[in-house]
Amino acid sequence: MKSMLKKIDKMFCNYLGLESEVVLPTSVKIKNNQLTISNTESFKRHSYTQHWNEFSSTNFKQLSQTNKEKLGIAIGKTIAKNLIITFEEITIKMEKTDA
Amino acid sequence: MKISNNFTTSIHLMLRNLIDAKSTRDQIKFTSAQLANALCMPRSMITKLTHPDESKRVVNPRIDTLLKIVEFFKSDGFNITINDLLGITTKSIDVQNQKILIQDFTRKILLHSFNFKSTKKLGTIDMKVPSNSKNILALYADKDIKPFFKKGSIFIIDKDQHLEDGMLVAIVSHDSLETQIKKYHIEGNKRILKSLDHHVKEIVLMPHLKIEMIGAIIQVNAKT
Repeated sequence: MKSMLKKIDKMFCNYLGLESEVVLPTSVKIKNNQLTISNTESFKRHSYTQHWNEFSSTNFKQLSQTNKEKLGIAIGKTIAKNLIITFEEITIKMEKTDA
Repeated sequence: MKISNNFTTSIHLMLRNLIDAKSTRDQIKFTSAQLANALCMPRSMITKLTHPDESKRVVNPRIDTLLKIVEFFKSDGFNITINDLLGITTKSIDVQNQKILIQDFTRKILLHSFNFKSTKKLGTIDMKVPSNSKNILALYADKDIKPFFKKGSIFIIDKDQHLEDGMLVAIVSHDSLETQIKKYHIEGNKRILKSLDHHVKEIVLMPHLKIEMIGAIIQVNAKT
């Protein structure tokens, strides 16, 4: 019975487009030496806070590129003036040395 | 600014953190009894402020008690304010309202190690940066820059950027060849370098200190 209800629930969720749970960062602040992110989850009315280290290892990877960029700008503003934070993968090109 | 719902919880945690931080920094055990002695207060006062059991903790401490505690730690080199002790948070920045900057221009930037005096360059990186300055360089953090940046983060420095209050700067102290990341503050005639880690003592810039200012940090590629 329980598994059948679960299947029906899943079907409804798929039909309504509620299958993906997206965590969106809403605000950033520094408290007691730690960067804190306030998040909202889709279809939930409450928000909750996470420390940056926890957020970066769990929810960060699921963010869209746009949200990553917005988050980087907000974190930069929180830490210092005229600072931007980016999260791109950077390739370091080694310098060629003469033989 | 906002005061946390239960500021007595904040005082209790913050005070314990400060006592622990002082022990760690000085490498000598610092106790709440020693703090009470230094403040000319009964030992029970500090015990009541830091007691792990909420029912035994003092609910509404006097403002002069808190000021004495803040003054003691400030004079000992800790960057602490009464707001920190009360758990008053800094302004929060809204994420979704941020405007994304369009940077079409990718630049090739020389990458150095944090050991800035080392002439060896680590290589080059291609990155979009919000500056047209020709004096841009990148530094690779080979260790965590506490409390925000992990090992592997890359700091982009604009050597031509005019320094303003609240900017992040890279400096090299002649005592150590390691680059340090500090926050630059202007307070009247004073130029102060504060660490991102609030537990580290601030530096008031003086000619005899021999600190070389590398430049303003305009961007950090943070390792997640």
